Amino acid sequence: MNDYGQAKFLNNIRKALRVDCKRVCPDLFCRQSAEESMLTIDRISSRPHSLRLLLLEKMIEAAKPLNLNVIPVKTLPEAAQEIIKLASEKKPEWGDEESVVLWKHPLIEEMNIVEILRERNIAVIFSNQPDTGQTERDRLVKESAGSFIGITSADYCIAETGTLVLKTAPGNERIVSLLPSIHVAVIKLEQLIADFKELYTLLDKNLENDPEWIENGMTFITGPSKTADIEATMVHGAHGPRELYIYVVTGTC
Amino acid sequence: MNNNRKVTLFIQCIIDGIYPEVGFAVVRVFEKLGIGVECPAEQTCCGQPAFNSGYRKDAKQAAEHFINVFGDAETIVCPSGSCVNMVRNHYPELLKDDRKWLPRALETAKRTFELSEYLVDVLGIDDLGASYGGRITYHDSCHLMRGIGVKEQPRKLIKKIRNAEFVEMYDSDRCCGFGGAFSVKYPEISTAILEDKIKNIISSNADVVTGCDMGCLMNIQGILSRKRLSIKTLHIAQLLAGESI
Amino acid sequence: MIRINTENYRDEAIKGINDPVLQKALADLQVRFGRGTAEAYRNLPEGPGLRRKAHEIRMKAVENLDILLERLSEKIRARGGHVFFAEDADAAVKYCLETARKHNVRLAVKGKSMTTEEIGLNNAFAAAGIEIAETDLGEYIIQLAGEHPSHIIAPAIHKTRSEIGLLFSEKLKIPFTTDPETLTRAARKALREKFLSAGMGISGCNIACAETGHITVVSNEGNIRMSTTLPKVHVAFMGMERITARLSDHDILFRLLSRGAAVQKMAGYVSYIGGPRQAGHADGPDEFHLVIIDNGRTKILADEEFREMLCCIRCGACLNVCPVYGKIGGHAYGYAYSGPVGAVVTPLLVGINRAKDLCLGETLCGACKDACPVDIDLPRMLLLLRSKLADGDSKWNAGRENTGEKMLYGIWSEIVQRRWAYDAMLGLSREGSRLFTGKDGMISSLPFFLQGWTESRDMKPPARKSFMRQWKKLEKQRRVK
Ligand code: SF4
Repeated sequence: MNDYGQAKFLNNIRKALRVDCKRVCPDLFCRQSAEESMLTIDRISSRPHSLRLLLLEKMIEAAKPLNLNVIPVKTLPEAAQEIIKLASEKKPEWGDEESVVLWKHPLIEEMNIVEILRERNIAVIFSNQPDTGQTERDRLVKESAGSFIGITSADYCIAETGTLVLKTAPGNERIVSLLPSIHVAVIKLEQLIADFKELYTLLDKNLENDPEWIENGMTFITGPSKTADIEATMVHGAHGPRELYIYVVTGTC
Repeated sequence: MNNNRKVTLFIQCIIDGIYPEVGFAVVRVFEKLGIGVECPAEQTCCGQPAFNSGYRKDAKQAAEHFINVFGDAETIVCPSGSCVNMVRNHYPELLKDDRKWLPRALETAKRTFELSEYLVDVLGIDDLGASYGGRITYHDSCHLMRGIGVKEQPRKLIKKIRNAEFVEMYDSDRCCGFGGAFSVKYPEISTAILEDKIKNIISSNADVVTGCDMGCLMNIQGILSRKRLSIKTLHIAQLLAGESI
Repeated sequence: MIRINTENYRDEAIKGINDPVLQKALADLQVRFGRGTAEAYRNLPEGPGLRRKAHEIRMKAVENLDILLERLSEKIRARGGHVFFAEDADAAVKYCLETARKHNVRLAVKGKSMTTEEIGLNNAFAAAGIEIAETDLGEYIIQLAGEHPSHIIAPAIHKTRSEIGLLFSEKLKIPFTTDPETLTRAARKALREKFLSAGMGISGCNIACAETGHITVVSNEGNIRMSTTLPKVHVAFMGMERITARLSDHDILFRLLSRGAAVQKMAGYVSYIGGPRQAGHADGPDEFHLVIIDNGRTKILADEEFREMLCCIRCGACLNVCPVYGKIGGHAYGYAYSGPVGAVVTPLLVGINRAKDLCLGETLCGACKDACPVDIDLPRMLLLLRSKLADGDSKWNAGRENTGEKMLYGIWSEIVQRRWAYDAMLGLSREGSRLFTGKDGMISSLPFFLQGWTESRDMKPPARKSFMRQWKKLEKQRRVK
């Protein structure tokens, strides 16, 4: 059987470490104590609205030096209006045709943005093409690359750093947050967490319920694409989106 | 109060051979404090040159000699951060497989102090009543600062010198490019690093640059002299002894 | 095929020192990143001590590498990915080339990866007639100019904007400009076409996660996301040590990596990749290959005194504070890895004697240790490498480098154990130095191996009487009194 060099390779490692392959390392994969993780998760889920708003303020601060726009809105329709306004202000980066590519996601559906976009002659592309094969997929990539705006939601958002956490899933394609010139993310205030420690505690919890929760991909996005490779001068929009807007729906209470 | 106190000096080889006046400045500092001074006659070199060049067996012999000579001393004080770093951090490493010498090395390490560290941390003294009419800047030697963590002690001492103005130079904690044998093996690199140090010394507008290690100061003095610059290099002990050369 | 040029350390160093553009760039880099990193560590809620914790996490991973790699590959294979274990550079390159040929790849896009530099992947592909486009803007510039990177994180720091402007106007046929924004746009456009047409994407791996079976890739530009998402085939290369056990280990490691690499709280993009496109997904590569590389690493692993080098996460922080790197730049180190990390890892990978200048050409100032996010004791290992050069070491195939010097230190060690002999040596050097002492009382020119000192510096000659001699005399007088 071809093990692609694995057995010999790992054996070399064991020899170098002077260990036996039968050894057990009980605590190698063990996560933080259940108690500690329970506490953290409780803290997150019972965090009062006022504290979440404080986190939001913190994120707005963190976003400034990153050239990241964090915009609180009360409701989803308000978010939709803001996005429409943005679309009318911006020009396509490649070619003249205006098109927007979207995730298939309950939050985005609830915004009811598709109709309004179409009314304004902006083409709408859904990323969740049924898996009909290569040509369909190629077309999606091509169209996304031509889009000037890509709209996603996120699984979590980290206040300390302004980071979006996006899991890859059918309908939640990676290219939507990558290829368009402008990336727009819509999240609810409840998705906002304090820091990476909280994130990894939540991820651990998810993994406990479903070891394949991350499946084949997850991306952290902190600000728009950037580079400082020419004389250390910061330029936004190296390869990924040049601008990033996060709309946080805070609710009306 | 210090009548019964006594220190045993280890005089770094560079001071012993090239800058004996620094050694006497150290002696004077302790005289001022009424602390008795001893200097074991058999002392030579801590072994750092050999160790830094990789000659560990030879460095080990120097280390054993040092431990023999200073074995009985209650408090060993040395006016060089890098020698103390050698004794404190590298002797145990050098002798780690030697059951006979390792305990003695660790013992000796515990009793060995760098001069400014000893004055400030052990004796609790920062004012030696010294006076120096001029502007002083201070260079943090690498082994002193990163090796044995001495950064504030010398500054405390300098700030108490009368008639003197203390000015920090930019990047005071950046290497001067000495590095022992490095400075003769790779003179171009060493000099390039040193040039930056000199620029920072000059723009501090100081008339004297001081430090706690004659290795670095010799390096700095060497290029100041070559450039015919009038900025002086003095070991901190020379300032504290009240001399104004 | 692999470029190893460690023998020319000194010449390349001098070239770097005499290049005013490089000097300015290096100085700027070290001010911006070097100082900022220390500050960023201090501002961590857990303080700089967190680096010790990170060291422990990494060390534990390294000590259980076999278990972790097994788990990683199992998980990736379960998702339909391929994992290949390459014992050396050739095997890794060959595997990748075969994969490219199988898919008729004519163009591959690559995200920055030092490991692929290490194994000489680009040259091998070029020889096989397959184009590899570097996509990190800095790497792209370097590739257009036909040069090699000079910094792990900022590969093109040695180029000015007007040099880049000229380069782009020639190669990309755009009007000459020195505006970084316009230049970046031009590269964005040129590389987009490549991303969209490439048959293969190539990446490295920052820190894989064994528990969940993912590699991670980190960038600020988004080029690595492009390379790993768009082409039909993705080949990732990872040094076998770049892995950690648990997902939550990434909390500390990424926070420190981001601070060490670019003084950021978090890098722009961090992607977890655990296999090819899954059923029902509309993007991601159809094939995913992970190539795990040894290439001399088990040898480092086997030597406990060097093992901690495998904790390195290639962040480049040590470069940004090193006074030597700050003067000579990256090219002098003659291999993929420069700066303090290169000075330790390159000799271990290519041979200690062959890279002897890398072991000897440092001041041992220790700044790198304080900057390292995983608290690796680089100076300790530099000293250890020197001891291998001094005495030879069969385990490392190292021979004694300098018998003359060895003899001198042998004599020296006898002298330092006897004060009378030491005095005699001082006497001799004092007499000798008289010949060279000038009117101003300084020595301005020394012979033999000491010549290096007086090329730029004077030296005070030995005193007429050593401190110890004067002291002994005083003691005698005191006793007489
Ligand atoms: S040695 Fe430490 S500082 Fe240097 S690249 Fe590796 S991890 Fe970064």
